[in-house]
Amino acid sequence: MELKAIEKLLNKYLEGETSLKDEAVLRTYFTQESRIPEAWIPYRQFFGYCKEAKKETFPVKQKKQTKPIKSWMLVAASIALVFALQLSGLFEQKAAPFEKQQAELAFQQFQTQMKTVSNHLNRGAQKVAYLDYWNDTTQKLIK
Amino acid sequence: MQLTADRSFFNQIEEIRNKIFRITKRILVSQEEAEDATQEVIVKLWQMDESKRNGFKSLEAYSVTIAKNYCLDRLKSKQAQNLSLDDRYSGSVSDSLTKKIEQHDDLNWVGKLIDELPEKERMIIQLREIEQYDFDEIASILNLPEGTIRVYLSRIRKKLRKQFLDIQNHGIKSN
Repeated sequence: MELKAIEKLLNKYLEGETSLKDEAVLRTYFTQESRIPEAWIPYRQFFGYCKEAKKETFPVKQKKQTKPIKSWMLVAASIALVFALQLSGLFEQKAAPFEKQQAELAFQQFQTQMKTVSNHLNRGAQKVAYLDYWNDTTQKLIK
Repeated sequence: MQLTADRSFFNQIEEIRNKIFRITKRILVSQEEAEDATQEVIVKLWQMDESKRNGFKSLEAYSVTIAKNYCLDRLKSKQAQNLSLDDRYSGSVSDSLTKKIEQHDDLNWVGKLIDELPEKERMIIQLREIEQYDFDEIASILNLPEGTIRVYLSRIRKKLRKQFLDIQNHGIKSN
């Protein structure tokens, strides 16, 4: 009996002649009845989909609501900043002995190099002085 | 004063906004575009004079009409710019077919079938089968006579039924 009534409604439904009330009857039948004729399975899928689709809501983005900066955020940021500065300061101090060693080594190397350069220069200067002396005497001879 | 007025507006608009979102998503198919369109419609409603807004017999029907017009404009300008490559056109035909078969148990494929209908038919399905509007409401939203809508609806229902049965039979044959 029930099936006949549903079938009648379905025929009306396909012709676009059902009222919203009729369609509500169909909707409850197809979404709640567990045993339905196999030929009607597409209807169940369709009405099931429509029921689910009506539940979809506009996606509300909640991140935007937490935008205003809270005072505790400022405190946390300043603590982090101070900590970061101190940390980098520590690294600088730790790095210092090594850099000092390198600088001293470089200075020593530079010193020895300068010493050799000055030795050579002095020798060159002596030779130039001798050359000057020789030059003078030859000038005198020529005159 | 202004704040309480705003709050009452948003309370009033909450359910309408969800409806508009579902309808715009059905027409535009893309999620992001539907979100934009919904915001756009809400802004239009919000900018309206309060007396005018409250003067409508049904703010909901009016909002849905605005939403529909907005979406159709969007679709038109997209076609004019030759930019009709939205979500549903991505991927090849066989791709969407295999997906259809994969999601046989999922209700999603019903939505995909609906989304492949022409835009007018999508709108009618959305307004009648999902939002459950009366024929006279649909007629005024779409600016069509009731009889035409009944004819459309009958045609769409039969078409969908045939497609459903085809998919079902294919499933049985391939197993």
